[in-house]
Amino acid sequence: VTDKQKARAQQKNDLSQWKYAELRDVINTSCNIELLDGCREEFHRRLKVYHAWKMRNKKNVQSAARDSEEDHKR
Amino acid sequence: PATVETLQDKSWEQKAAAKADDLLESFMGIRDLDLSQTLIDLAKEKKNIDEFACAVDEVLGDFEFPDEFLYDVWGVLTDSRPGSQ
Repeated sequence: VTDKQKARAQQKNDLSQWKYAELRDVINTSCNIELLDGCREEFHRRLKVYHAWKMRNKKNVQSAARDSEEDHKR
Repeated sequence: PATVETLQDKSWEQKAAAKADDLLESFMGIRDLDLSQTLIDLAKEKKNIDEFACAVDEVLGDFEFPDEFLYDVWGVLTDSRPGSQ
Protein backbone atom coordinates (compact mmCIF):
# COMPACT_ATOMS: atom_id res chain seq x y z
CA VAL A 1 0.00 0.00 0.00
CA THR A 2 2.65 2.53 0.97
CA ASP A 3 6.20 2.50 -0.44
CA LYS A 4 7.43 1.45 2.97
CA GLN A 5 4.98 -1.43 3.10
CA LYS A 6 5.80 -2.50 -0.46
CA ALA A 7 9.49 -2.58 0.35
CA ARG A 8 8.78 -4.62 3.45
CA ALA A 9 6.52 -6.98 1.53
CA GLN A 10 9.36 -7.79 -0.81
CA GLN A 11 11.58 -8.84 2.07
CA LYS A 12 11.85 -12.52 2.81
CA ASN A 13 9.78 -13.57 5.81
CA ASP A 14 7.90 -10.29 5.95
CA LEU A 15 6.14 -10.85 9.23
CA SER A 16 3.85 -7.82 8.88
CA GLN A 17 1.88 -9.89 6.34
CA TRP A 18 1.43 -12.83 8.70
CA LYS A 19 -1.84 -13.56 10.42
CA TYR A 20 -2.10 -13.66 14.19
CA ALA A 21 -2.45 -17.47 14.25
CA GLU A 22 0.75 -17.91 12.21
CA LEU A 23 2.73 -15.66 14.55
CA ARG A 24 1.25 -17.39 17.60
CA ASP A 25 2.08 -20.88 16.27
CA VAL A 26 5.72 -19.95 15.64
CA ILE A 27 5.99 -18.35 19.10
CA ASN A 28 4.54 -21.49 20.69
CA THR A 29 6.34 -24.15 18.69
CA SER A 30 9.39 -22.95 16.76
CA CYS A 31 13.01 -23.56 17.74
CA ASN A 32 14.29 -21.08 15.15
CA ILE A 33 15.56 -18.30 17.43
CA GLU A 34 15.77 -15.68 14.69
CA LEU A 35 12.23 -16.36 13.47
CA LEU A 36 10.97 -16.59 17.05
CA ASP A 37 12.40 -13.17 17.91
CA GLY A 38 10.98 -11.71 14.69
CA CYS A 39 7.51 -13.06 15.47
CA ARG A 40 7.61 -11.74 19.05
CA GLU A 41 8.74 -8.35 17.79
CA GLU A 42 5.95 -8.22 15.19
CA PHE A 43 3.39 -9.34 17.76
CA HIS A 44 4.47 -6.60 20.19
CA ARG A 45 4.57 -3.99 17.42
CA ARG A 46 0.94 -4.70 16.58
CA LEU A 47 -0.11 -4.57 20.24
CA LYS A 48 1.76 -1.30 20.78
CA VAL A 49 0.21 0.31 17.70
CA TYR A 50 -3.24 -0.92 18.73
CA HIS A 51 -2.96 0.43 22.30
CA ALA A 52 -1.64 3.79 21.05
CA TRP A 53 -4.60 4.04 18.63
CA LYS A 54 -7.04 3.02 21.38
CA MET A 55 -5.74 5.73 23.72
CA ARG A 56 -5.90 8.38 20.98
CA ASN A 57 -9.39 7.26 19.99
CA LYS A 58 -10.58 7.34 23.62
CA LYS A 59 -9.30 10.90 24.06
CA ASN A 60 -10.99 12.01 20.83
CA VAL A 61 -14.31 10.45 21.89
CA GLN A 62 -14.08 12.02 25.36
CA SER A 63 -13.32 15.49 24.01
CA ALA A 64 -16.14 15.18 21.44
CA ALA A 65 -18.53 14.18 24.25
CA ARG A 66 -17.36 17.13 26.36
CA ASP A 67 -17.87 19.51 23.42
CA SER A 68 -21.40 18.26 22.79
CA GLU A 69 -22.19 18.53 26.54
CA GLU A 70 -21.03 22.15 26.53
CA ASP A 71 -23.07 22.84 23.40
CA HIS A 72 -26.14 21.44 25.19
CA LYS A 73 -25.58 23.73 28.19
CA ARG A 74 -25.49 26.84 25.99
CA PRO B 1 -25.21 19.63 6.09
CA ALA B 2 -27.51 17.41 8.10
CA THR B 3 -28.38 14.06 6.55
CA VAL B 4 -31.15 11.63 7.35
CA GLU B 5 -30.11 8.02 7.91
CA THR B 6 -32.70 5.30 8.25
CA LEU B 7 -32.33 2.31 10.56
CA GLN B 8 -31.77 0.12 7.50
CA ASP B 9 -28.80 2.32 6.49
CA LYS B 10 -27.19 1.72 9.84
CA SER B 11 -27.97 -1.97 9.97
CA TRP B 12 -25.89 -2.94 6.91
CA GLU B 13 -23.00 -0.92 8.28
CA GLN B 14 -23.21 -2.72 11.61
CA LYS B 15 -23.20 -6.09 9.83
CA ALA B 16 -20.20 -5.02 7.75
CA ALA B 17 -18.38 -3.83 10.89
CA ALA B 18 -19.07 -7.18 12.60
CA LYS B 19 -17.59 -9.05 9.61
CA ALA B 20 -14.61 -6.67 9.53
CA ASP B 21 -14.18 -7.43 13.23
CA ASP B 22 -13.82 -11.14 12.35
CA LEU B 23 -11.09 -10.22 9.85
CA LEU B 24 -9.40 -8.05 12.46
CA GLU B 25 -9.49 -10.92 14.94
CA SER B 26 -7.90 -13.20 12.37
CA PHE B 27 -5.13 -10.73 11.54
CA MET B 28 -4.46 -9.10 14.92
CA GLY B 29 -5.89 -11.56 17.44
CA ILE B 30 -7.95 -8.65 18.76
CA ARG B 31 -11.63 -7.82 18.45
CA ASP B 32 -12.47 -4.13 18.54
CA LEU B 33 -15.71 -2.87 17.07
CA ASP B 34 -14.50 0.76 17.22
CA LEU B 35 -11.54 -0.11 15.01
CA SER B 36 -13.67 -2.24 12.66
CA GLN B 37 -16.24 0.55 12.42
CA THR B 38 -13.43 3.01 11.63
CA LEU B 39 -12.32 0.76 8.75
CA ILE B 40 -15.87 0.50 7.42
CA ASP B 41 -16.39 4.27 7.77
CA LEU B 42 -13.25 4.85 5.72
CA ALA B 43 -14.28 2.30 3.08
CA LYS B 44 -17.88 3.41 2.60
CA GLU B 45 -16.86 6.89 1.48
CA LYS B 46 -14.44 5.62 -1.17
CA LYS B 47 -15.08 4.75 -4.81
CA ASN B 48 -12.46 2.04 -5.15
CA ILE B 49 -9.98 -0.02 -3.20
CA ASP B 50 -7.04 2.25 -4.06
CA GLU B 51 -8.76 5.25 -2.50
CA PHE B 52 -9.63 3.09 0.49
CA ALA B 53 -6.03 1.91 0.88
CA CYS B 54 -4.79 5.53 0.77
CA ALA B 55 -7.32 6.56 3.43
CA VAL B 56 -6.30 3.65 5.69
CA ASP B 57 -2.68 4.63 5.19
CA GLU B 58 -3.45 8.20 6.28
CA VAL B 59 -5.59 7.39 9.30
CA LEU B 60 -4.38 3.94 10.41
CA GLY B 61 -0.96 3.78 8.73
CA ASP B 62 0.83 2.68 11.90
CA PHE B 63 -1.00 -0.65 11.77
CA GLU B 64 0.65 -1.51 8.43
CA PHE B 65 -2.32 -3.63 7.40
CA PRO B 66 -1.35 -5.93 4.52
CA ASP B 67 -3.02 -5.53 1.11
CA GLU B 68 -4.74 -8.91 1.52
CA PHE B 69 -6.47 -7.68 4.68
CA LEU B 70 -7.60 -4.46 2.98
CA TYR B 71 -8.97 -6.46 0.01
CA ASP B 72 -10.95 -8.60 2.44
CA VAL B 73 -12.38 -5.56 4.27
CA TRP B 74 -13.26 -3.96 0.94
CA GLY B 75 -14.97 -7.21 -0.07
CA VAL B 76 -16.99 -7.23 3.15
CA LEU B 77 -18.13 -3.67 2.46
CA THR B 78 -19.14 -4.28 -1.14
CA ASP B 79 -20.97 -7.52 -0.23
CA SER B 80 -22.82 -5.85 2.65
CA ARG B 81 -24.02 -2.75 0.82
CA PRO B 82 -27.80 -2.80 0.26
CA GLY B 83 -28.63 -4.07 -3.22
CA SER B 84 -25.32 -5.80 -3.72
CA GLN B 85 -26.89 -9.27 -3.96
